[in-house]
Amino acid sequence: MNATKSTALSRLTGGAVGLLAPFFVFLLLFWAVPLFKGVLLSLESDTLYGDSHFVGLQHYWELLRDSRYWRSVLNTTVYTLATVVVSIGLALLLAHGIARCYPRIQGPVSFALMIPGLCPPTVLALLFLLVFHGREGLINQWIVHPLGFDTVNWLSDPDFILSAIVIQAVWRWTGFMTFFLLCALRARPKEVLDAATMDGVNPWQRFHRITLPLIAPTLTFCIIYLVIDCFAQFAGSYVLFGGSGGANDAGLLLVTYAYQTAFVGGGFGSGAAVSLSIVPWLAGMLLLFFLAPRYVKKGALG
Amino acid sequence: MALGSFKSNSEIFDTRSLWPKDWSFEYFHILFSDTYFDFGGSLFNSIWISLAQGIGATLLAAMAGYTLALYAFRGNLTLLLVGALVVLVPTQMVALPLFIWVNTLGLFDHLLGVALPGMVSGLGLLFFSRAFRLVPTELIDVARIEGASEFRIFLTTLPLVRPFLIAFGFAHFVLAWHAHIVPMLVLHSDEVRTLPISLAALYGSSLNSPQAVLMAGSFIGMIPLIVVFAIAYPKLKSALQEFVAN
Repeated sequence: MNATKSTALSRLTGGAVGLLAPFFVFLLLFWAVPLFKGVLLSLESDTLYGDSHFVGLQHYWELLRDSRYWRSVLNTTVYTLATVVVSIGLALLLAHGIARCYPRIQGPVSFALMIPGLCPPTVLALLFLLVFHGREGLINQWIVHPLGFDTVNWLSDPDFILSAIVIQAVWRWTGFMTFFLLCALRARPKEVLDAATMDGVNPWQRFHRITLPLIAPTLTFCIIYLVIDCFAQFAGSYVLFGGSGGANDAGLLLVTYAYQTAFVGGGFGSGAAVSLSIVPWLAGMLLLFFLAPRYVKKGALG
Repeated sequence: MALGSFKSNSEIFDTRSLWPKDWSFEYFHILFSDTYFDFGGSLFNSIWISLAQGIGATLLAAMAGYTLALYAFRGNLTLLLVGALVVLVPTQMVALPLFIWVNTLGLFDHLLGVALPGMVSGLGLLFFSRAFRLVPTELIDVARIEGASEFRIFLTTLPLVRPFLIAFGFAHFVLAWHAHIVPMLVLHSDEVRTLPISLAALYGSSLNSPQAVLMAGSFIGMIPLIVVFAIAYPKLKSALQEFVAN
């Protein structure tokens, strides 16, 4: 933190409190209160009508033994990991590619890439229904058949459902990630890169030793954004599978499961428990992405 | 999708051709004649909610971020951590209790019931608490010596962080536009539904769901976003580049 600023007053004046207060009032009213009520709700019995009573941690205990819950945890984890790795990887490649184009077409290209991100997830899912559609979907017609494979029933074959959701998320977010990374690439100091090129550093080392550390903050932001979106993603799979988990629950995600438990199953208490149980998974996943690079580095150094 | 909106119902599912055989505006007519749902109303609701959220969230987060950036008071870091926590627990996860709470507040089936909760953005707080550090300190010193009120100083700094305001406002506008679960729970009657919800409902409504109308609706629904995006794009780029460089 830049605490040495001459203007950094150490005490709040009345005016400053006035500026600070509205945000935190809203936060209290529309985030803290619902969260608190959610915790309370998750400790109560699933009574739809009449008074519910306190059941303690029973819902959480039931979740631990619920195979569908573990299925959705697994699905969400795989979905998130795959989306982040594929999307960030593609975005890095694309950003490097675009950075080499003529400046005049860089704008329009990255603009066009971002348009899928502007599509509402519901519409996107709908379009994808056409793409993934059993026998006549675009992927089958244009990619799977010409390559001589059998028709893949993307949306009802349990082996392929998850990859269908991943492809959808990748398609939506890669453009935005490319844009963020492109901005980061542009902000690299030219002198350093030129110096490295003059010294005969090969492209991979240039990327690994110079570019990567420089764009690390942006990369971190992109990963956090994607992980949170993956965990909170609801609309896409809701439209694709109509609120169900798809065949054999192969596409059941945590948020969908919470929705199902609460509104289809009518168990508000256990639904709230499922929702809240997402938080530690999300935190764990973020931690994983922060710790993984360090371990990899350690391993590489011996 | 844009092409799909010109195709006929039967033609859409024939994926062998992307290009429509005969261009028809019939489905746009059906869309605007409100056969299936009040298209104009839904579009208006979406624009209203997204604008309110975009402007509201930007203003709230900018005000709080300004204070956090320029005051080194005790508890500064704590408040930032709270902001980070909000990022970690997005609205989707508290959707159910939020829905019950909104009912208690009497905002059920009301546009404000979606717009007000959507104005809280932890990401915005973190973003602006960094963005306002780019304001030259001399400016604020002078303003303080001149005896300007804190709110007045805040207003004077706004033009300096304009790219950031636009960038964040735009991002939040898009998120609000796409929001699904909270609007779906809170907004019940047809008159207050947002466009994505209406379209999703149309999709699930019947076996012979009118794909072409759906495509037409989606296509028109994207136009406001693309317009806002095209306006904000250059600002977005300069804001991000400046942000990343610091």
